[in-house]
Amino acid sequence: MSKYSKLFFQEKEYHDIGPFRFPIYEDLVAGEAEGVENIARKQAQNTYTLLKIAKAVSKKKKISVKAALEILSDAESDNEVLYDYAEELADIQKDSATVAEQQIEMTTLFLRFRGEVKGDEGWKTVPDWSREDTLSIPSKLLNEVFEFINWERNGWPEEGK
Amino acid sequence: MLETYRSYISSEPFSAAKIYLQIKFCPLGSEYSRESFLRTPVKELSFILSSWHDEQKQRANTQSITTAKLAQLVLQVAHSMGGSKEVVTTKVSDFLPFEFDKEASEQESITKQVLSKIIKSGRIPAHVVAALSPLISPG
Repeated sequence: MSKYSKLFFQEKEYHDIGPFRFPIYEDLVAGEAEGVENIARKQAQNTYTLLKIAKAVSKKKKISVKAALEILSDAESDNEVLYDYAEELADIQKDSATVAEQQIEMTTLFLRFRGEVKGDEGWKTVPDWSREDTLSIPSKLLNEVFEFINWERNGWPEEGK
Repeated sequence: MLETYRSYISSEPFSAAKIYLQIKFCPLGSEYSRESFLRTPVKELSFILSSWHDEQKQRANTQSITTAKLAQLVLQVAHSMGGSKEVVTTKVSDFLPFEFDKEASEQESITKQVLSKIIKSGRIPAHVVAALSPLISPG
């Protein structure tokens, strides 16, 4: 191969988070994109339902939507609004994922579709990586992978690579 | 804000299966495994698909050139038999199924306009006008 081949066929760059490494694309791969889209849609559906309830409360109580949202998010207070919409709010709570859960889901996707681990015969992919496998990795590592995910989705900081 | 969320929820979700099916129909796509596909960046997939669609359009245009030329000829004959003194302004590319390199044809049309203006103003010698004639005559 010519010494100038790199001009046409660039070699993959990797981001190391020991014991894993991830190719850098500054983009999502197809498998990740579908999973991330599912998570985002579920979240958007819940936010939409919550906003609809807040709008109904603001109309009924003649207050702003922002104030209605504050009432709805204050689960500890004993106000009748929460009882009026108890069923809908319970559905939202049941379907919504916490930040930690989202972090686990996304990390699982990135490890399954992009992650590589060093074996006896060099680096190899881990297409069978599961949620249970993610739960067994240390939280510091989980945070580092999640940080990498955010850089790949939203752009890298100047000195990140 | 409510409307933004509503339109996002009702929009068509990203479907890897649908895109994989399209990729499979591209040249060499049959050798592309699902595992490799799921590990390919979305930007690359979108580039492959748009290049393939452009290639398909170009192929359809190339295969239709003879028919388009015939249609242009029929139109010119019909025009002259109808006794019209006006010049037929349609081009062969107007009869092709897909637009023929839009950017290039826009540039070409601007060049033609400039050349026509210069010729009409009489600032170009007759032998140059004669040489340019095939380029500026419609059709």
